Amino acid sequence: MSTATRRIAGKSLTYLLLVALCLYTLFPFVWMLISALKPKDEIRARTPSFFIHSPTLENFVQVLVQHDFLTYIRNSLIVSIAACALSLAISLLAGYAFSRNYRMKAVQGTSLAMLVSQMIPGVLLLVPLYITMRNLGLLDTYGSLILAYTTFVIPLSTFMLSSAYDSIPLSLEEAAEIDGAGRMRTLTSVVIPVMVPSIVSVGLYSFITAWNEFMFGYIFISTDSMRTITPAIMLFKGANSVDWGGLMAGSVIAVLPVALIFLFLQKYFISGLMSGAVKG
Amino acid sequence: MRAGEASRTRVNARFAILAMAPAWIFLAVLIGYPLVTVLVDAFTHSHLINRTVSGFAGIANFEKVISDAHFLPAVGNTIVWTVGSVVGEFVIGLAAAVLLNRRVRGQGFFRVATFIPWLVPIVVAGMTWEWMLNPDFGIINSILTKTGLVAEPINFLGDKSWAMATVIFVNIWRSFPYYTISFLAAMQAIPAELHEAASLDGAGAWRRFWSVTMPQLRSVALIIVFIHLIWTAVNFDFIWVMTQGGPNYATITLPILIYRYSLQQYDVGAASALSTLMLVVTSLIFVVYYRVRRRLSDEIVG
Amino acid sequence: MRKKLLVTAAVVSAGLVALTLNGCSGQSGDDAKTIELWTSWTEGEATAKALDPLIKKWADDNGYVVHQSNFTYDQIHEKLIASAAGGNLPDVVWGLPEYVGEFQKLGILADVSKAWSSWGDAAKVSDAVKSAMTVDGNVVGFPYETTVRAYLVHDDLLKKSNVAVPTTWEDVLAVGSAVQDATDSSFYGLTGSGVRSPQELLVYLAQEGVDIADPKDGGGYANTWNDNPDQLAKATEVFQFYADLMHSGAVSPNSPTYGWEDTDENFATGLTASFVTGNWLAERESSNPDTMGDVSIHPIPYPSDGKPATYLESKPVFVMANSSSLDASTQLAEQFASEKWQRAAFADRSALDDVTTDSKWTKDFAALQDTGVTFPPISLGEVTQNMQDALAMVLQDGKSAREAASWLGDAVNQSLADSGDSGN
Repeated sequence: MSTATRRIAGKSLTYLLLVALCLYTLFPFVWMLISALKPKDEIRARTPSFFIHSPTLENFVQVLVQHDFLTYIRNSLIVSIAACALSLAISLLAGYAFSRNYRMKAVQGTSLAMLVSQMIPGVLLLVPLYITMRNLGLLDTYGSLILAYTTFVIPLSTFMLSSAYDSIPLSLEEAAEIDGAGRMRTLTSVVIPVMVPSIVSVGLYSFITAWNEFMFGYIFISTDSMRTITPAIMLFKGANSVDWGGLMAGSVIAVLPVALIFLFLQKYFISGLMSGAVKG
Repeated sequence: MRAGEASRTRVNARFAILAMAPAWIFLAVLIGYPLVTVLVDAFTHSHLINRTVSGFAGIANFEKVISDAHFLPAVGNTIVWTVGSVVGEFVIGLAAAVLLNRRVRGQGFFRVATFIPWLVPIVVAGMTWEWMLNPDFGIINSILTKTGLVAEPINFLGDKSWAMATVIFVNIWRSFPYYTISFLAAMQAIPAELHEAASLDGAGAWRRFWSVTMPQLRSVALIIVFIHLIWTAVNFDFIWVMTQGGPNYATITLPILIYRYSLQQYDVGAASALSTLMLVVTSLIFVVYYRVRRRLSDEIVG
Repeated sequence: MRKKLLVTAAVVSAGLVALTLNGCSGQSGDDAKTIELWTSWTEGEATAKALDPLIKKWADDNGYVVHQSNFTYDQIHEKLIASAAGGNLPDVVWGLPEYVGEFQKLGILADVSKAWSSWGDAAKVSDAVKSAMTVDGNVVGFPYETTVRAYLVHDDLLKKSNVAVPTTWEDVLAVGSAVQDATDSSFYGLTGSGVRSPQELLVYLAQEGVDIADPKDGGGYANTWNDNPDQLAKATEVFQFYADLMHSGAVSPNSPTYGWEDTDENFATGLTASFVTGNWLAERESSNPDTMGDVSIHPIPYPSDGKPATYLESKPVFVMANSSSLDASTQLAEQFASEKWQRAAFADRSALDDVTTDSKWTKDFAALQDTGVTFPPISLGEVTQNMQDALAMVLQDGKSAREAASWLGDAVNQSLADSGDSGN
């Protein structure tokens, strides 16, 4: 086979596999979207179907207007962005130590502590964290959620960033230091700019974790105006009936902002964008 | 060692400690107290609502937990659930990363599409999958029977022989995007010249993948796999939403047992004891991770 | 230079943290003139729309500010437990009857017996409802929503299969697979798992005259089946009924793992021809008009050597014991159960015998209230799990009915001991 044919075959195979992958990942979401566009008498029909007899926007309208969803989105955005920024700052520092000083006892200890923190099941965090927030006077504030979410994501962010630091050769830092830059300066102006894709991926992880979090959202927050979006979506599941239209519409709405953010950010995953800076 | 190097090491150490300090503060304040509570409760008679229950329990809670009829099945299920999920997530996540790293038209769309499962809140995803997999009015069974692939609808979540595989399948769907993102990010850090050098040497795409890309992904892969091993082992939401540990305990895992001890039996002591057991096992896994990572770091940083 | 940078960074981040921590607070604290109310209604639905102005008017008339927040019952349950531990309870809470026993043990419920005795509408509430929210001799709530279960039948499907509406267990079993063969829908609905299944089991047991736990002299509760051969035999009958239902072809083979979501759905879409459920299915008449047009309401089939019974679900609105505005909170709680508010917001599910609507969904259900049974006021978390496990023994593991009944008796006693409900 000539190289040209091989390339075309390769590309076709890639497309085929990508389409198959998309089917796998999007199938439930498409079902959610279609269900959200169905009127009440079609959603839970005896025979399920992708076809909508009379598509309607009433579920979306109901969710956005009657249920204050814009407020919830605003709250989730504030909490998630703050948690993301705060945890990135903290993990960028700690991750550096993990990477460069992995032999230190203090580093090993912190590593272990972070891992152990991931092992505590949410149900056992419920009461102690509630008491802590109560004592800090943070119940029913953004602060309680921001602090909690930041703490939940610090461990993985740190590990991931430390691995990113690993692929940056020491020579880069040494060169900067020879030029007279202090350690923090080196970090911020030389090392970190090279790690942008990793920072984006870690930041996304923190943001999404905060955005999707459900339990502490309703445990810490009692006031409707402070409510975040995922606990709000669960309200559609009633005691004896589920408002599937509202649930699906609410979920679609919750996914869209993050999907848009990702669409914007994914260009940072383009090969070659940063590799030039790592040379030499 | 020159004088400069010695002081550099000291400054290194001091900076490292300062750099880790903010993380420590957060963890100490917000995780320290719950962690200590869990460890103390594991050895105490503690009931969530019955105030008369108190006192030192020694290892009574541990005995209760280990002799529970559902303990061993839960251990088995947890292992199957964890390993099955992580292996599936790794393979699909890596494959997706490779596919998405190639320059194709509509790359942005494909990436967002792959990313979507991770964006859907677990509870909603669980409920939606449960609906789609329902034997009576779920779309998946509808498609399977209409196209003649199966004769009778499959009770995916209600049939003992299907339940575990089904929840693992859904878990993979949900979690693999994270692997993909991380691998994609790591792939960007691979200097283009490494690829160029390899292809100049006549290596085909497959060979390049194995000898150039994979080694660079080792560090990231190690972390993701280990963290997901832990997360999946502790994960409670998915199985709870879809099967509640059923049908008839077929998908019961240790975190579900912990949840039931805590919020159904209100036996905080037993819940904490089981949690402590899991903590010990994780720490052992961590030791393994650390050994491997040290070896890796030695190679990289030198 | 580095030190300065670090110090600056520290100060800035401390400032940021302080700002965020204090940003935008919700509650205004334990003001004596503020009442914290937790509800569990559906936003934008009739009940919520009717109650909002009523609550506001009451607050204005009495000089209080009512902060109302809405949650699901599960969320309320977990929030109350966390709040009880953290000493930060609300004032008035919508509850479920299952919570009565455990919240009483938590010590967070106020005793509203006095308020009840001077309550104008008290006489219109049945004893069964009152005792559903009485524990240790104290009344701990006011009934805001009261419903029973009934046997719903799709008349068209039964007509098509030439089957009459059954009144006894034997009738049901005799139908066998007749409806399935004629219409492709299963005949009788059975919830094998989830929160609904213990409620169904409780009713069948009550129809045979056995209780899941009986009060002991001197306090506490115990299951007496294994000490009493007569009771054990009756309990065995019940489990045998379940097993027979499966074998007779009268129920769907998937029943053992059906939860209420499945069984309600199956009835609403006509996949099941008849089912025991509540009057919330009324709303399915608008969402499934072609399949819900032929519904008639009947008493639940009972064994011919037993008696009729149904599940009485009377939800209490609780007042928290250490509320800083106890009297006002009690008053507000009482309002929810008062005739005016019941007529406005709970007309089809009221405990007051003169509040009703003309719809069959209210009348035919209310007619069954006299035979309503409830769980005893014990901690139910583990007991209901035991009941589900016993059902699984018969429906999924193929164990004998007697084995299941005997096992359940012992398991319940163990659970009662664990939760401190066994007295002494």
